[in-house]
Amino acid sequence: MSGGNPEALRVAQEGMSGTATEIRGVAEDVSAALRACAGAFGDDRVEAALERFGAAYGGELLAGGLSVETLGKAAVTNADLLDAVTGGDR
Amino acid sequence: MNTPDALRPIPGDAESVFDAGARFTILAASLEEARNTLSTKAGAAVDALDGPRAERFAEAAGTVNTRLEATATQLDIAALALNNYGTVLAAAQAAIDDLAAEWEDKQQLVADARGSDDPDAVADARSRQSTLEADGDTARSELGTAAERAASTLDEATDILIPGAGGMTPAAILEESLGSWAGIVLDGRSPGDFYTTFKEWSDPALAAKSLVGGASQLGVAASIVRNWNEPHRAQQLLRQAENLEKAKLTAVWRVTGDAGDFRYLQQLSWSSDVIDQARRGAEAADAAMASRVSRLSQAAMLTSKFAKFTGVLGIASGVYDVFKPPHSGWRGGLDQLAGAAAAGGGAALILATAGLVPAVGVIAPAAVAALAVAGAWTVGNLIYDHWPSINSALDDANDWVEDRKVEALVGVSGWTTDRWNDFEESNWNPGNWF
Repeated sequence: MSGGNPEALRVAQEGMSGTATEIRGVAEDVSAALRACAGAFGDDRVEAALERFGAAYGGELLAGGLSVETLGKAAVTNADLLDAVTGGDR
Repeated sequence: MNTPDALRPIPGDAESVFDAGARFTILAASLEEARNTLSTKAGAAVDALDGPRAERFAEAAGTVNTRLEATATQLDIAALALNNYGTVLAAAQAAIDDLAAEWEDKQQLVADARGSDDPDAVADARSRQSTLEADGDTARSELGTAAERAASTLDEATDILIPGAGGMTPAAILEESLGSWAGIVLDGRSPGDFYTTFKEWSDPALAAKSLVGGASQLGVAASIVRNWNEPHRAQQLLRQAENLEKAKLTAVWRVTGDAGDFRYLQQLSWSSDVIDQARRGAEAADAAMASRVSRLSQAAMLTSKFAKFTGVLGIASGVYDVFKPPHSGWRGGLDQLAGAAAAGGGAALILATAGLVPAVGVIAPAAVAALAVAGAWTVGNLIYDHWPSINSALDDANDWVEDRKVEALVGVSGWTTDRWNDFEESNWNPGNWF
């Protein structure tokens, strides 16, 4: 219960927080790319399929961002727990 | 002049399609870069953990990593599909333009030849026009085939995921987000699994939450711990509510009218209600805490030493006590039993006090019972040792609980208050031992 390195966990969390932001940025860019080419296909089937694709993977990216945030919070949680259990005396 | 349908201009902008394909390629590369960063950072986190927690963290990170990699691959596939379609679109548009121009020339020739003595020239022009129209049909057909292929490719990529919010239903996103708020991933696990999970992902702050919700008899511990953590948790919940709003917006971005949309919309509606509920709860908690922090801070000062101890009480200490009981002899044995009960009961009570998981109504009574027994023992020992220093803060704590006005919490508190009264009169109460 007391093994581990709280400081390393917090450093890792910072990196994961930045990664989560980057992933959400990609999700927003997918939306922007779809909006930019809306109506450019000349075929309703392609346009509709691309919209479905964008909705699905935009959501997947958003979920991915949330998951990475979850990992980051878990890292901090574990760091806090380690500190709590050991009284910060490591 | 009436241009035949086969030779009418083909709508669309191939350059925009190419641009979209290029952006998708760049996005895939950005996502791959983010994925590599995640791998590095998650690897560092795993290295900093020990035992089962490291394994679970690595498992969770690996799952996310795989999903991101798959998404990057699909973005590349989408880019390829768009580029291929754009190429055929550009070629078809150019071909139709050329064919239409020649058809117009022949039409002019026919008009000029009328009344002349050269019927063959008119016949030749008509024949050539028919050929041009046939070529136009062929070009349109090829474009239609390319469109069908591109749409099929995109749909196949999409079908890998559940239609809607990116492979996750709104309910799943909600569940995951609330799980992250709670420091655990719910993921539809059983109460038994929660126990295991919570042992490995336990959080002192949330242990406090379980104390607050599950054991009003721990009045002093509850008030102090709330004083510590409530503002932070309220802010976390608000941020999560915002994330959920974003998720909902993404999910409703496109509802295509497919047969599954009704069920999908039902889920969205449900998610929206829960999101609103969570937001209202978070705002209320935030506002309530702002007005109470100063009043409770004095109680915190009075019992700061006790507060530090209770910060790791509940689930964290419950698990800890199982392996390292604070007392020796027969009291140590009971420490272990109480610790195990607190860990399991506390995990379930987090859900109960959050009031956001439907199944919690089924498991809450048992969880409260487990925590009440464990809490009675653990805090009974503490209270016995520290009663003079904490007694003065008890009134503030009880006032805080009463003012909270959270229906589920009050219900649980009432139950546990009764249990506390039972406990006071029973042999479990350390005060009755001597």
